Amino acid sequence: MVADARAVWATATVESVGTAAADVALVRLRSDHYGISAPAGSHLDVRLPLAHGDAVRSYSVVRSSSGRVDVAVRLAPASRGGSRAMHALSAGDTLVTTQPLQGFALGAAASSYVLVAGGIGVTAILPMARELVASGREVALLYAGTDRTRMPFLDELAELLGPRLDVRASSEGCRIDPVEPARLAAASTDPMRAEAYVCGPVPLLDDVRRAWSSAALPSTNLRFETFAGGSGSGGSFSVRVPALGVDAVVGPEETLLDALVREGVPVLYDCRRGECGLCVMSVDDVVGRVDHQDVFLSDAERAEGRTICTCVSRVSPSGGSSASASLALR
Amino acid sequence: MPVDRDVPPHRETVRATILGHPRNAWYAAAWDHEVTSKALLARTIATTPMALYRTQDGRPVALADACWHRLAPLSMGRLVGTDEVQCPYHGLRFNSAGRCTRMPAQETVNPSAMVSSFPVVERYRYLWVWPGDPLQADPDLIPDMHQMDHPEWAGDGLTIHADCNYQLILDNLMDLTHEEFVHGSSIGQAELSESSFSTRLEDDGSVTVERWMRDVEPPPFWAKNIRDRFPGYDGRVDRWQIIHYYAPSTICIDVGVAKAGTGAPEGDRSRGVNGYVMNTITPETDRTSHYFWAFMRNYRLESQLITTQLRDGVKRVFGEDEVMLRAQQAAIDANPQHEFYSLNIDAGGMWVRRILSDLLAREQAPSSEAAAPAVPGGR
Repeated sequence: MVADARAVWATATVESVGTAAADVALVRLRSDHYGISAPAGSHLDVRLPLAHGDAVRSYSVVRSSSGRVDVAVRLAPASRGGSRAMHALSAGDTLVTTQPLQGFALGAAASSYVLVAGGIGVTAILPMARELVASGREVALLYAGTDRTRMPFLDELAELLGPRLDVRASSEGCRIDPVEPARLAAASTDPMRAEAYVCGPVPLLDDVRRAWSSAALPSTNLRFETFAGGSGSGGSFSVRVPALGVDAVVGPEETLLDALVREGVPVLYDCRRGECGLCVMSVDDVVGRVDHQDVFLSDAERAEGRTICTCVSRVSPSGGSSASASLALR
Repeated sequence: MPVDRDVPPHRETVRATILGHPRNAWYAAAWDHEVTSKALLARTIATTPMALYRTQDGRPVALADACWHRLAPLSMGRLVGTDEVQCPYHGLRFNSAGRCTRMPAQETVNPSAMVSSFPVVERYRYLWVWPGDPLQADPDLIPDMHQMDHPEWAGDGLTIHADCNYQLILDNLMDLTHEEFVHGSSIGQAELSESSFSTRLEDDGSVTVERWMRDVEPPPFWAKNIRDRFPGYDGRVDRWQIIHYYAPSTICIDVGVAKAGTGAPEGDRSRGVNGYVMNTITPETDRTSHYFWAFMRNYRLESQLITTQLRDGVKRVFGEDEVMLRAQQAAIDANPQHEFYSLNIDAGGMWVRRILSDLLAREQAPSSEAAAPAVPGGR
């Protein structure tokens, strides 16, 4: 939504902090600039003071009304510190956020909707389910997680969707087969007008996208949003930029881009979620393997192995215990 | 003597102000013939710039007229493929759903890249767009203007780009007393302000203002019309004006004259001529409007001459309104918040204002989500 794209930063007050599931905090924020209600698919950008300085994190709006916004935050042990700071909040605290911003809008023209939530990605999907049910649309939701106790909003979704909710908990041996969304779309009344909305970790999305494309469904009907660092492989690794004499360690709580900026590497960036491609650098040499977490590079570009999207992707050890990369500005 | 009242005496104060418009509503954006699959049409509807076009198979599309990337107007771009628009600046392509399908110099497409695609319905010779929440866009809410393309009716119309808030046009059409003073040479006559009228809110939420002028000399416009059907007739007539308002901004006026005393007020219009003045007004900005109108008739359907004469005649009449509306808007701008005095004749317009105010209040109100449950386990 072009008209809503300008972020306005203002102070918000924490009204309450509760628990949505194990390790998932439900934070209710209040601010005059939140407006009446946020459309499904919107998120807040939140400025958090972390050890190395302020950082910006995005959280989907799970519910909103009259100046209040709820976000649900999973505490990620390997996180970059954002989720820990959010979990440390209590009523009366203040923090600086944008108004709800739209980056994952729900289209109204589809003949049917397949929703796919992986883990905390359900936060973006839940308001979509609410809106689609309220307007009487054909909708089904595949919701995957590790364990039911760690999956928020199960009760609300079950009440909303009944048998149209399909829960896959890996603790019960159930997973989403990446071909399922395409199959559900193909089996719907008008497959070429069926849309799927996926929010989850990048590997799941990659697999779903390949299956969608092999089913010859229109690529624009597969909508997705990712969350940075979703795979949890936040180990440290070293990075060198020989042309600039940089040799540094990327800590477990920071991104490769954070480390490069800290070391004074003049790298451009914008979205910080692996979409825009501005922060891409050339990979001259790598020990271990590049763990691509972006949606900017194509499969072919990834296979070539010459580029990395520094805002979300990392280097992990493969076999041996060390991981490092030698990069160059493009 | 003090009297207990259920409702406190309430003055429906009307001020010189700019009335907002509901976003969850269908607005006529264009005549059907204005939008093609060959070129893009730029038009601002309800303060939202839109790029209008048709897909190769003729389906109408309304996209936000600003590229996701750097806001270049898509209406300056070109149509490509079966349903896509190419941005004139950097060549990003968007399909009819508003989704980006191509970005320059990269192999993937940013998943956030899209422009709003507004619901569009083609009906009654107009393209109707819904600028608000697309999931609420129910085509059954389009006001009934069936005379526009029904085989028992013939006629044509035009668009006025009016330099005033849409509300002023609704006021104008809800009270036709002004015809006597603004349109004295064509449709005005003294009996307009001498005859009584009734105003009522209907069960379906529409408003009706009905006025009959019995046994009067027809003004020039109607003298000509009745002679088109009954050549040589130069007698007196019973004249009617029945105004139907449908929220937010459509007014269809059942008008006509019949030979005096032949039973038209009682329902027999067989010795008369009947027209429908079709008006649907689309706010463009707060101070400008797209005013789509047509004059439809249910007699002499075969005569293109009459169609053209009526269209041109009404165009001249509405030109007189345009001048007044522009002047009135200027006076309102010069006297913001001035409290108007209202007259008996304003009943129709006052109903319209109340209905619109209610619609606007409802759009501003918190949604049903207002009763958000307390955060579980809150601390």
